[in-house]
This record gives sequence, C-alpha cells and structure tokens, in this order.
Amino acid sequence: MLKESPPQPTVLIVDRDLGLLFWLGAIFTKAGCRTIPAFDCGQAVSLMRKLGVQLALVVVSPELVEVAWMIRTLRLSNGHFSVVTIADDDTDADSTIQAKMTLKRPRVGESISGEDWLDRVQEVLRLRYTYTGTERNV
Amino acid sequence: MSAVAIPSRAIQLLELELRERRSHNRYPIRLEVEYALLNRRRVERLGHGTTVNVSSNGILFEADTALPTEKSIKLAMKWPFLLEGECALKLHIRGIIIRSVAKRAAVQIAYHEFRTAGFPTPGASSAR
Repeated sequence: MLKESPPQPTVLIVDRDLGLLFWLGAIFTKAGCRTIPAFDCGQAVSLMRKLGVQLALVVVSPELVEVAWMIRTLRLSNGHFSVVTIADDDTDADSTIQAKMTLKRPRVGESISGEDWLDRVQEVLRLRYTYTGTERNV
Repeated sequence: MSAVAIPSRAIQLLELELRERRSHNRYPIRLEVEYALLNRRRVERLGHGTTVNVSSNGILFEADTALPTEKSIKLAMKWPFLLEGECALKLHIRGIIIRSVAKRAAVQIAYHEFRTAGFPTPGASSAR
C-alpha cells in the first residue's frame, strides 16, 4: 500500500525586507514547506483570512507593530503554531511573543550561505514537531 | 514523499554572497517581472523582464527595452513558493526608476503589497 505523503507545512513569513522574504521563501521551500509572505501584521492576517490554510509556523520580525495581536488573531482561527523571530543583533526579545527561536537577520555586507540557513530552518522545523499539546502560547 | 521542486527560473540562492556594502542587503533573485511604465498615471508602455536583485527598498531588473529614468513604474511578480497550485500570490510594486543603464533599470520602491490571485475575492480591497 502506498504511503501518503505528509502535507507540506505552511510557513507565514512577515518582514519588511522584500529581499529577505524571497530568501527565506526559497530556503523554506527547499526544506519542504510552502510559504506565505507579508510585509506587516495587518497584511498577514488579511492574507491568511483569504487563503484559509493551516499554519505550522510563523516567522516574524518582532520589531513590527502589532505582532502579538497578529499571533493571537491567527491562533484563534488556526489553532497552535510555533513562532520564530528574525531579529537584528540589538533587538530586544519580546517576551509577549514567546518565540521558540530567533534567527539572526543578515547584516549588510555579511556573507551568508544558503546551506547554513537551510540548517537553521531545518532546526526550526524540528522544533515544530516537539509540540505536545500541553504548551501554552508557544 | 515527493521532492519539493523550486521553480527553475526562481532563485539561485544556495550560495548567496552579499558582496556589496550598502545600506540594504541585496539578494540576487531571478524572477520574471511584468511592468507598466506610467506617464501621469496613464500606462505608457507594458513590458516584461527579469529581476537581477532585490533589496528592502529597491529592485534592479533587466527589461525588454531600455527604460527612462525618473518615470513612475508598476511591477508585478509572482510569489514562486506557494506550491501545489492552490493559489497564487502576486507582489505588486509601485516606484520610480532612479537609474537606467542599457536595459537594466533600478526602481526605488514607494509601495509594495502581496495580493491573492487565481481565485475570486469578492469585495476584497487592499490589506487593512
């Protein structure tokens, strides 16, 4: 009997940087996910309402306004998903977001390798599977 | 499990080197782009091209013809990473051509938005 392929997890990526959205989109696709991009939290919620897909993971810049609101709103319709932030070196952690992990935003002029990022993204995706149903607001 | 195929024309990303020290990172992203060159809000020319790189506030693309500087332009690009044909997302950009060398045009982004496409969204307006 043929085994059914597991569904591709859907990742919402919210960041102001258009280049970074495409970069992360490519890396998550390489890791077996499909991705939905948005430039801000309002647009993210609006897009998710239109698309109506189940989210597995949200990758978001904590510097955007209304991040906590976006996460609460999406959880009301989606149920649980993990949150990963993408932040500059000097960004303070936002405890209200309760991110499982922080990805460092590439600095200007920094050499970055797709393989490194693929490793980081796969680590993020492994975190997704550690959810047991007992965690709150992860 | 089926392998995930990244669209061939999309992105050669896996050995990205950000060589240039600028105020924004530029990602060498190759995507097809459609454009509408505007003249006082009227479409003066429609065309297509391929992006060369993308940053947070600009796009460099190679057009099918040389484009004039200081003109307003609209660009549309498909988001290539939503798979299985479930829906399409398009990135819509409005900006100004700030530099043009041969067929390469640098566009400073004034506005950008992802919009759904491929299925009806009655009464849908732009996000918030």
